[in-house]
Amino acid sequence: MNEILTVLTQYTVIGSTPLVLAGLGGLFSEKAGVINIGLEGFMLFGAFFSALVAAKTGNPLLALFVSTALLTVLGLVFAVFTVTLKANQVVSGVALNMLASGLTLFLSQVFFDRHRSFTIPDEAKLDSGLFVVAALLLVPLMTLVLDRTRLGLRLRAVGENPRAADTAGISVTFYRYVGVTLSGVLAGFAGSFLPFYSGSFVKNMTAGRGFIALAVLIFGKWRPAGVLGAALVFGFADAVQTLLSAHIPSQFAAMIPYVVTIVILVGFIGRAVPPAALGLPYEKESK
Amino acid sequence: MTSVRVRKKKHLFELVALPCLSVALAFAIGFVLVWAFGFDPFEVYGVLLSGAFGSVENLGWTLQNTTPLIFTGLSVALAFRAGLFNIGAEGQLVAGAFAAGLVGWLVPELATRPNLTRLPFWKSVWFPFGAFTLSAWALVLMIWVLRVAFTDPVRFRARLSTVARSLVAFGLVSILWLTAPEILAAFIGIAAQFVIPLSLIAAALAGAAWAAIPGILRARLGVSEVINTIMFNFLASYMASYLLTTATFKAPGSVPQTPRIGVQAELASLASFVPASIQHDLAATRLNVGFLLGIVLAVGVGILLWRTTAGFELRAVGGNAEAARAQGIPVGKSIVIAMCLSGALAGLGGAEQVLGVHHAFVKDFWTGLGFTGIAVALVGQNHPLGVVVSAVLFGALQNGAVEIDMMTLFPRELILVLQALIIFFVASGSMMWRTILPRRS
Amino acid sequence: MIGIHKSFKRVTANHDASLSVRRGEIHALVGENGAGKSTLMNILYGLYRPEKGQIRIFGEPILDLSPTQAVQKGIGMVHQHFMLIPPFTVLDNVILGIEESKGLFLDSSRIERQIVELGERYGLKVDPKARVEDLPVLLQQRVEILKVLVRGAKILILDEPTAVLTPQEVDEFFKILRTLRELGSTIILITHKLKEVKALSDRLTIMRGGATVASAETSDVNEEEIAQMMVGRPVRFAVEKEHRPPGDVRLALKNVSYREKGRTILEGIDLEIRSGEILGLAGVAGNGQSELVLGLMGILPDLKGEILLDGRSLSGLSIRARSEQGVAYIPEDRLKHAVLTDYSIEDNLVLGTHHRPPSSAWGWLDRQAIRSGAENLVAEFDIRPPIPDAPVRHLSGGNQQKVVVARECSKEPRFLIAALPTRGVDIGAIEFIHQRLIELRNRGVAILLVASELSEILSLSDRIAVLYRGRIVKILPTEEATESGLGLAMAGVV
Repeated sequence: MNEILTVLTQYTVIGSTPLVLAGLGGLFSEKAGVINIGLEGFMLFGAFFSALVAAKTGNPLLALFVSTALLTVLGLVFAVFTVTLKANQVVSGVALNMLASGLTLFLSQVFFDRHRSFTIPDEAKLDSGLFVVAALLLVPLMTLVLDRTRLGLRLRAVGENPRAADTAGISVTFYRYVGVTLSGVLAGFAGSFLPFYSGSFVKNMTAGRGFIALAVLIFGKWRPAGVLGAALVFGFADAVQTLLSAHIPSQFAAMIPYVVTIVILVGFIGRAVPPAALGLPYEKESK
Repeated sequence: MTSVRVRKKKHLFELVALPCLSVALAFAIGFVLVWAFGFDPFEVYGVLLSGAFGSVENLGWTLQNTTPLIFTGLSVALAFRAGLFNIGAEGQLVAGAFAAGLVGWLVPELATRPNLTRLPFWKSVWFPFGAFTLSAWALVLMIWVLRVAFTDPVRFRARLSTVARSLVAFGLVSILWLTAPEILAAFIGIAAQFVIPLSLIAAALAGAAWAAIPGILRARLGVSEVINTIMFNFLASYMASYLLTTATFKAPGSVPQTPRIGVQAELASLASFVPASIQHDLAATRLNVGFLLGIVLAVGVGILLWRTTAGFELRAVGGNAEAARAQGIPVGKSIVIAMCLSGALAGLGGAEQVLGVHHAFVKDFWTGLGFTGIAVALVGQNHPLGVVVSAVLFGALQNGAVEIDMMTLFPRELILVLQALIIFFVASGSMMWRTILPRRS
Repeated sequence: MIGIHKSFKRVTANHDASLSVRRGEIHALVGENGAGKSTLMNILYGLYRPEKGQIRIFGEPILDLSPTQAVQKGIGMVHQHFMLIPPFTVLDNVILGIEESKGLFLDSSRIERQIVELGERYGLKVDPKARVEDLPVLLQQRVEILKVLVRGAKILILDEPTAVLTPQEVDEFFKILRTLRELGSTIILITHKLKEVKALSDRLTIMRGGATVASAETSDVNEEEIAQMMVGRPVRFAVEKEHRPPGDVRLALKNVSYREKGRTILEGIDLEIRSGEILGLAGVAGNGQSELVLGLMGILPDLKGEILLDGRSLSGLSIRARSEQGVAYIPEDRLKHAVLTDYSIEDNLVLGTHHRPPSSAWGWLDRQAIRSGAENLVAEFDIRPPIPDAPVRHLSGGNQQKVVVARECSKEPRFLIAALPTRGVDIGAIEFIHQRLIELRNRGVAILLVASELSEILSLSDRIAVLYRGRIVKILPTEEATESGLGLAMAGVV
């Protein structure tokens, strides 16, 4: 019994860590008013780039650094499309996911002699503990930033009533860029967890976690502490799945997180209030 | 021309020019990408084009790839018109494909067997399961009747007709349940004759059902269909994966697939309809009449959207659901209908693949069809004609990708990258082009 | 402001407009909807940039004005639609844009003290820690004014500030403005309410069609003269309406109530509207009118009590079913409930009856019938441009409203609800719509008119009911009604 509990806890933590990180990323974007369906894609990019650099250079910290830099660029590009060019945010997110799927496989073949997956040598791996600690630290940090700093106040204002923020002299574009780019970086960081934990990069290894992170966001009522709680619930479901997969067909076990997501979504509609301007591109009246 | 007419012309131009320019730009970026990785872009693009259109056979392969994309493209486009994001076309396609695969296999198979009434299926599954469900139903009915009759006789009398209808329905279903073996035995011969329509209907129903749940959740509870349909995609995929491991559904052999469908369930190859000179080339492909079905459905969707009341209401809901509702249009019903139709279209796409191409339900044949369908719908500006043209484009790209894989050392995922870029450029719409192109006076 | 010229794409919003305001005065900027007043003030506040013209503030010429600069120069603007963040506190709303920090974190204590102090001085008391969404509209307006004062505004621009206030609250508000003036502020008041102009302002400027047409000392002109200059021709204030004995009771509401989230929005509503009668429902926005109207239409489903149309209950019927019973509706929010902007005029004209003959049969649309029906209505109601397949998006507000009115009239209803039917509509269309309403009344339709302008209610209605906090507090024939009496009732004083 004790053993089962330990294993359960371990798997719960492992399962929830990427969700917390990605969820926090999504939080920043959505608080600023931009839906980020592309979290899945950003996670995949993060997983790929960190795995790539780690495998090629053997230096995990360099891998994280390069990955973060690249994801900042990607986040900025996504912001250009969704904020400046006012593309439909959901569609852009779907496109980003497709891009991630294709580009990672593409680059994998380029760098690894036509292989679609590759492994990371042991010495190049990062302890997953780092990610867990980071997740735990980021939750209170994000709460502070959102509630008690100027950046947080303005970011939230931009997501609730961009016109009011604009009239107050605040650049809606700037803060939305910040929100989106940060969400890309955090999601990328969340994605890096996966290859470092498993030791390899495989095709589409994020397996829908980015979408579950969105459910975590709704379940968590768009608050950092809520995201942590919600992620733990999903992590637990994940842990149960791993334990059960020995006893029931693996496919059914694999379905558990997705079913849980649906149930949570259905149960939480109406009780969770998103930022008022979520999903609506801001049209500035021409000068 | 009045200013209104000028604006209309300009609008139409934008509708067509925008996707074309986006495709061109994406191709240009792809060109640079190929060159940046040390390959010859002309060679790669040359292979792409010749692979797509270079010969009759290649054109056949392209159109074969196009066909499922017409279905999923129409599915997504129809949903978009109603203001819904149906990301779940892939899952609905799987559901439809499975249904078609089952019907296409079972009906001809059963038609050859004697003694259908003695199948073990009846004793082990049908009767117990039915007994359970029917008793539960009867129990619920009884409890409700007794409770309401004794506590609120007024309401009971008002609902008497509903009760009567419930009882009649129960009676009919029970009779059907009891006589199912006999009915099947009697009609299986006829059914086998009509196995293609039956399979198609089954596929459409299955796809519609798979889409109905997210649709109902959206209509009744306001749950975003975006995440829900994505989840349902995963569920469909895993479900199908599992079923293909069970003895009931898996055909013997190493390939995870259902048993082959009967010959009468196969969709005829288009090769038999073309002049003899190109017949041989086309016969190498699996291009089948499903392609024509897709075209017909495209026309049908167009007629639905612009010539029927239902289409009018659907577009109204997509334009401004609040206003539609305030004007008496049943929004919830429209949403569910739109999702069901959307699912049915995707389901039929799955049927075409099973009945016309693979002749069985094969694991993972569906990968990417749903998401590409989204790209097709977007580039086609959610218009049936646009969807068909855009499906040809993407079908060509996919075919070209295979060719690139075979003839060059370049990764075929270039195509995925091109697709994503196309979506980005189309989605940023007029905004982007207004900043890049000079202002028209 | 001298010779200001501003256009948006092909529309000229301001044409050679000039405005001169003296320090320490209350100056009214008057004009009807679309005359260019808001545009001119938005230019002064730096939100728009004019193509031509000069701006001088306190004698100093200003180039390239931005909102930040405008604030620096001492200009503050309170918009008609509040620029507030509902889930934020009053304090957070005020500090937004001028936040002060101690180290990494926000420190709003100084501004909080300032809010309290200003509140005392000007009579604008609000709790800084209260959440804006919990505050009534009156207090929200105070927050808006505090925002401006905290930033040190010497020139205040107020855009239609009394639209949401009862007559009594307006008096309170005027006191605050006078205090501001006494303490040295200059106030520009954008309004179209002539009584207020006369009561409050020192001088006024009139705008029409994007240009400033006249400027005067308020004491030198009377309301009729102002109105004439606003419109450019003599204006009829009263609508000609013959007295008719009303028929049988068409619509009856008995003990209708409505609760939402635990709050009582409507209670004990008893109303009767007879055929051939216009019942005007007066009241400040937010006292339950919207809910009553939406509930009658079926858009809000939970009205309790009896709603009878010619003796038949409407409760529980769907929106479409009510429409088929003969209920028609001109919604107060045109864009939200009445029109589909991407659809054509003809499609909008059949919206609501599109599923029935003659527009459709067996599920198929009869485009010929729709087109010819539209052509008739477009001609009859003088809808411009008279192109049936033009998208409604391209029409002016007045023409859009005419489409709605045309559609509802063509349904030959038995009962019509007209909610704010002339909102955002230019004067020519207003007269037209008023005529139509009278015509319908003369033909025996029962009409419920909801309006916030007492003048409109007084001129159109046969009887008037006043709604206050969800209850009918007064109901009387129009002949016996006075503006002040109604005003008192609207504020709850009966």
